[in-house]
Amino acid sequence: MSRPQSLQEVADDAVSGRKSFGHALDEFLDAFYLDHPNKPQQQRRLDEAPNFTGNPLQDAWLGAVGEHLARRWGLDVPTWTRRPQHYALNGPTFAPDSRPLRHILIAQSPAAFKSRMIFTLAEPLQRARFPRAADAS
Amino acid sequence: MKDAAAYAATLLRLPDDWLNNAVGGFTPESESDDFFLLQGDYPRGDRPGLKVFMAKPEYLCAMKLKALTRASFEDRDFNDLVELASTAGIEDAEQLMDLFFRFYPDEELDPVAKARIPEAIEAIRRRRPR
Repeated sequence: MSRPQSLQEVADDAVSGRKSFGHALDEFLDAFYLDHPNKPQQQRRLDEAPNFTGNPLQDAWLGAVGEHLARRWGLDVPTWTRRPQHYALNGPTFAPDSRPLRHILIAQSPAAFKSRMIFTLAEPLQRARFPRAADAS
Repeated sequence: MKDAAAYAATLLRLPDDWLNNAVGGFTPESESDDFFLLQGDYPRGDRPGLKVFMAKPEYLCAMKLKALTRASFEDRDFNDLVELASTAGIEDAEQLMDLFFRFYPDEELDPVAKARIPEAIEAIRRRRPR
């Protein structure tokens, strides 16, 4: 089974049931980080608007990931991330859902997540393939 | 090794980067042979060939504890930690901390990971058969 090459494919894989949303997203992130520092290639992976999954949490994550990756790695924020469906959560979500960490998550969550009522760590979306700090300009 | 991985990718139609060597970010400066189990020896005996080693659950558990500083959609590192710690027979926070420092004697445990240890122990206890 191939790795999702774009956020559009992440949404499609989740909706079709080929992969769980989290699994598909992690595999996409691996592909995205392997492109580092090829910014045009990373931009292409973000540009295409994903279909909505119909799950407000997943759709909020997709918008947050698209916006956050663009900001974090010096790319253009795709306009699709501003669609209202990516801001449709009715209440806050904590990732991880850990009560002792909540105050940290509320303080640290990057704007792309916080604006969608998702509270997470300062450097979310890390993978083993996350570019080392020295390379991440 | 890279040639062998590329050959396997062609043969099995895998992505070029199927063999993930990025885990190095989570391994300590030096790894002892004691961290691994011999999983396979091909061909067996004294002839040269391929020896496959598997990381012990305790070592994977320590790595997962280190990885708790990253957030993911499904919190898989946390769930993996709970499963591995259960397999390793961990029963309380002190044992989990001891296990971490057995593999990473020169490192500090990140405060985010430390804050999650009580809930990990709670989850481990919930998994036990009654």
